[in-house]
Amino acid sequence: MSNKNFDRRQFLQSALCGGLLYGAGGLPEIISSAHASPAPVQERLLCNLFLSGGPDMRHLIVPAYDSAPDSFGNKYWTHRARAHQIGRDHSAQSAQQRWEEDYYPITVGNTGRGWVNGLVDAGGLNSGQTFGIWREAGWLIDMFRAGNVSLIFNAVGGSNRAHDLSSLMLNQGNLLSGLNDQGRSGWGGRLARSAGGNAISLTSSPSEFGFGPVGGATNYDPNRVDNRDLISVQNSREIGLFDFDLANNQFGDRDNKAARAIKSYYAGLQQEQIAEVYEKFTAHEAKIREFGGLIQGRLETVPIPRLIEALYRTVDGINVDPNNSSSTGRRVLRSTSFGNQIRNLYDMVVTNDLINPRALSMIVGGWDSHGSQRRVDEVLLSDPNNSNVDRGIESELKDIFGGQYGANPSDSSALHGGFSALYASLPNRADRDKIVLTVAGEFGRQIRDNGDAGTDHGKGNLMLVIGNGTRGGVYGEIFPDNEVDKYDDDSLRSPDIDPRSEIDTFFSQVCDWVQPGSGTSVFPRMASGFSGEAPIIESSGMFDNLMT
Amino acid sequence: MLKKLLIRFGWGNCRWLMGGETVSPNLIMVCLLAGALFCTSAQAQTRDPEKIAAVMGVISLFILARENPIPRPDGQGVELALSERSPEDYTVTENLYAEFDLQRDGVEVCFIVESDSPLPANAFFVEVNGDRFPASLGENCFAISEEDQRSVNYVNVIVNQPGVSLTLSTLELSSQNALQLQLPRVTRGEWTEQAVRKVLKIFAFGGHATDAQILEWSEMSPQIAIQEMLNFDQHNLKLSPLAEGEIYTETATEYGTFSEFISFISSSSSNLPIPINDRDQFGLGGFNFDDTFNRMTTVRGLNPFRQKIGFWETNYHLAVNRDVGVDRDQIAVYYDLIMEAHEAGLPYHEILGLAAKSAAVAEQYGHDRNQWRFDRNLDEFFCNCHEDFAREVHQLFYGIYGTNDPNHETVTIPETAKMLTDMDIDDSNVGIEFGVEFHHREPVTIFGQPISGARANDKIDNLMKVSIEHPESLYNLPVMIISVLADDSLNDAKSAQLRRSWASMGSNKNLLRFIQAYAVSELFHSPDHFKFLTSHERSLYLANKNNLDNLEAYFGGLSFNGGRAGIWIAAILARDGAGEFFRPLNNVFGGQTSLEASDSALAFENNYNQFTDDERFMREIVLCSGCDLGDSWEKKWSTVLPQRSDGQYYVEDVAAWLWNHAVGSFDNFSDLERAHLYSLLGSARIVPDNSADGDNPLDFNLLMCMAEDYQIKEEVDAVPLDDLLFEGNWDNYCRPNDDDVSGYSDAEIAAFNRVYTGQSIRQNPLAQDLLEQLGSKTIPLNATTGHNDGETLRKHALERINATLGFIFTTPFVFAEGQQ
Repeated sequence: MSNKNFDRRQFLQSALCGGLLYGAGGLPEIISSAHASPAPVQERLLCNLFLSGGPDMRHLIVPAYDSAPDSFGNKYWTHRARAHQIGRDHSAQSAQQRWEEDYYPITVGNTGRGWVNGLVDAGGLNSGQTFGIWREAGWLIDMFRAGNVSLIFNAVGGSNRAHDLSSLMLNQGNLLSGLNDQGRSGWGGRLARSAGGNAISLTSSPSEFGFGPVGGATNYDPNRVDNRDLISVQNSREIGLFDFDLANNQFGDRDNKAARAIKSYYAGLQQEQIAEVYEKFTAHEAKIREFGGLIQGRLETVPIPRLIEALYRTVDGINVDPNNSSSTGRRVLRSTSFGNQIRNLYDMVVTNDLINPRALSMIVGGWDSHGSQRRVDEVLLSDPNNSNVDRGIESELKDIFGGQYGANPSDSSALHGGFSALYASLPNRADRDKIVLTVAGEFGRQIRDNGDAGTDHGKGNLMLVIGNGTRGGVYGEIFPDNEVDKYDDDSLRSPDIDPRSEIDTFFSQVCDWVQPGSGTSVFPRMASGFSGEAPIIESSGMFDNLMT
Repeated sequence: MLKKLLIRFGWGNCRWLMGGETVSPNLIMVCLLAGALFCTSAQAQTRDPEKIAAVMGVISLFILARENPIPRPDGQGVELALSERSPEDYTVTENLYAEFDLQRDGVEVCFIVESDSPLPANAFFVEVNGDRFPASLGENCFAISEEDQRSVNYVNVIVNQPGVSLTLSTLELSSQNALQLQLPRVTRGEWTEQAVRKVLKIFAFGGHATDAQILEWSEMSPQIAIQEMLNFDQHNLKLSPLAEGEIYTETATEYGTFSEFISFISSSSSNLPIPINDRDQFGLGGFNFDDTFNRMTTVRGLNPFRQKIGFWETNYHLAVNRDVGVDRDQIAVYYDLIMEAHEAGLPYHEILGLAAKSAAVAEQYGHDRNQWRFDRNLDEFFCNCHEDFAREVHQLFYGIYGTNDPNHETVTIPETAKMLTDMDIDDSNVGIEFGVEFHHREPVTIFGQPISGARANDKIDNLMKVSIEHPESLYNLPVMIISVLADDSLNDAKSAQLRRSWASMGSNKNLLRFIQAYAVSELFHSPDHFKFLTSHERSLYLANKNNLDNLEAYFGGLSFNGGRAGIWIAAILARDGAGEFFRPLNNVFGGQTSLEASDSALAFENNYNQFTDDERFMREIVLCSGCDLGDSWEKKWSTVLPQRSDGQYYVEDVAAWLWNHAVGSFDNFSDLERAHLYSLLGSARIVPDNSADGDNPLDFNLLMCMAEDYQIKEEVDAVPLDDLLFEGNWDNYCRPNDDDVSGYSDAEIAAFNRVYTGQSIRQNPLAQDLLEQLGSKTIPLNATTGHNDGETLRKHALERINATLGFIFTTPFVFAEGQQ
């Protein structure tokens, strides 16, 4: 038998290799300082939550019910009755009841009605406007009232209503991207590169958000991908490659021998020139080996906070089933995946001195609510925190925004949801001060519900910037006047929220906060010298003071 | 047509005649491809990396003038016509020449040479237009560019030794620029074993074809071979033959649909190695339903290509998802509906129409609830419906986004929603009752055209004919198909070629023809093509490369009757977070993508740990006592591994075979890989007549550590392996707590952690000596003597082979397919 090997590697060594750079290149930035316990956050970092599926944020934040027929508040509730399950099934609420019982009212500028001094009404577009935040989003309400939430209305991250293309645009931070532009970097990856740190994916497969550009800041090529500083951390508590242990006699230990064989092989392979398509996997090996060891070494001394652990598995004393006398507790979130991501996020924060995270990504799906957008289940009357109940998009909203914050929460009995548990587990304000959260979906939904108690795809939507570093308030017209007439205009087959501000205009400000000067690199269309189509903005300069 | 008898020539190699650039009138460089050397021409090397395993060197330069005729050779001749293959075999004892006229394009002359007896060196050679080239047994191809051709050309096979008799067959003249469905097709010279394995890897989860079958396909014209390899028959016994001596043979003739297979595997009366009480889990009501599909894909006798396409259609392109409530019976019927339509050769738009009218899709999107109703208060009809599938039937099925169509959002999608009314799922749960009462009976306007029909099904049928020819569909759909199935390297130019090919089928587009054409195209076989494997593809490929008979497929990594066999695919998918079959990760947008898989450090980590920390799950699945319904079962590596004339299996041969079997080429089989594979296969303990005999092989670093320690302690340079590994010796070297040191010494620790590269191995005399010894060791797969009448040796030999396969499946080269 002969195998006719002609040693392709030798050929490649002499060949000019270029082009494909997924995962190729050197190792991510490593900080070698060591702490035996949770480390204070050293550099500002951004965590982006992608709401995949096109979230109906008009379900989270609604206009006040108004009996006047031509008012926004009347049109909205009339044309959203099915999506709110008003008068249906187990919920016999009227629109007014729904508004009054289920939404926390805030009137812009009225400190007697939810508004607090210091909140921003950018451009003065909404003075006197009343809106409500879904009450079960207690953490969001509290954070907003604490001045830590910027609600950005009429925002757009994807210029069409197709999930895949709009998701691509949003994650790349480029509304000019087309279907064939999948090889471009993400805005998180560009931010991490600009900041000289790493992009961290907290999910099993990283989204395009964290894909890095080719080259160093600030002259990198955003239209190609180099993931050298992207680290995937799907389970921070188990990350790592099995290794041999010389405390054992190596002769008889099979798994040690297998581990050494593979480890040795990869170590050798790292020094050889292989086809570029395979470099992604040698990079994985190197990253997991390096970071797995660092992270595990640190986390051995850092227990998972109870509030965070309770998000995804049973912790005694948290969320006890009121209808089951033997219950000692239940997981809090419906989505264990999101709970795991929160744990990963916490772990990345407490190991930040080791891995220098600057842009992290999370994903929560389930937002494509064409039918039964809200589901009402009788069991919630006696067991409102039953996470096994599918409540439509309200399950996801509660997972993400439920909970409480601060000394005077809107609902002091609320269980901590995802971000709520994270913030409660990061008691050091200095740490929280250095974290900013961005929350966005690929598109919004139509302003009228459909015949299946859901909403179909639209364009404009609400996006959020959350953190102590943002000047909280409302940005953009909350309920645009020109929408009122759309509701009853039958000539409009699928009316939606007009996009008025592209993500470049406000997320670039967030990037500048994370890494001064990075905004125009991450979002090139914001650069003064950009010669192409400039991103739209609802009101010029509206986001200039978005961040502190 | 072959007008007269003459030729054959051949050799197992291919040579290229390339037009020169400076010498007038023509400078022809001839690369001779044969043994073990390397052609300095990247073109020759990259175009045919396996068949042209190496290039002997540049033979000479010639200046030829087309006007200068070549004398017709003496002897027997065959006149060749383009694109025709001689059906005859020719016996050659002196010479045989092929003659052909000047062709418009470059051509390739190919043939196979065989001999009944061993041949002396240089027993025959070939002259191409008078220039001499060496040749060898097997397939030989000669590429001759248009400018290098004469008015009349001769390829002359000349026997160089008295008494030599050759048989020459499959003589063929073909164009180098042949198109198949408008895609440039690889030539026969480029259609190598490696190319065949690549097709199987990407389009059939590796398949189960024998080495002989793969060789046979590689020696056929690609356009013929591909029809045997990739078709929609329920049973493709060339792609998925039964193993030698197979007991569970039913799938070779029956149970080719998903529904039938589900019934078969869950039935108490079926001939299966699964205990009757354990079969329910694989039925429609069973908890292990998704495992049923992976068994259908890995069992022999069916058609892994059919399952590849079925998986893609139902989990990617036309995805339905159990997680949103699509029932298992709906999925099974949906799968069969689509694949039986493919089998029947229906135009693709009709197949998409079948999907659009299915209960599974209605359940997935919920348009079974859509109704066109009358509102008495408003005194008008209204669409009590949503737009979910009304959008996705255009976007996901056809790639129609409505780009540059101002009416797409405002007209086409709402009108499509009206089309999808009164489509109740019927009482069977797997069919649709198309009604008229709540259907929008008037025509709807989609893409600016009226789509008529009394019921939804009629309108859908009419729409599909329009959709398949929609400009956006023509632009996007062929790229969507290939990009997900087979190609992560598409660029604008390649996409344009795919579009041309797709469009060339007119209104009767056939998916199989398109895939076949792509699978033998220069696009797919070009050096810059690459494809990352998803977790599903990788795990199924691993299973098909590991499993040798149907017991392994049916067990699927589970333990039955006290024994475990096969690969536990579901566990791999679960650990990777890749989503089960029919629970696509991205819902209707499909399962885990190849980019998601390749970017997933988790998938890499899991795979790595599976073959290290959990190595026993790979090593131990080689035999079991009583697990085959009371009989013992043993893995049949001996039936497929290369055996020399002495009946032995040599480490050198087995290592190379395993690598090629698992990776599909020798591109990355270098000294580094050899070192590790040889160690795992060959460095086992030698403990005659003992249960440890042949057990516990060493990794390369440990072997080197021991050998170096041996050199020191025995004060010798040479390290005889048989002594090093012999009972009583193997634990004397590189062991802890000796040399007056607690644990391992610094030198030993350094040896364990030493990094070996291919170069350092080549430059290390001790390593070279050990590898030479290891390579020539035999693996006692047929042992009948020794402990337990050879069973111990056989078991340990099988375990070493499986552990070695596990090692290969931890390398980067099973995560992707590509050369650059």
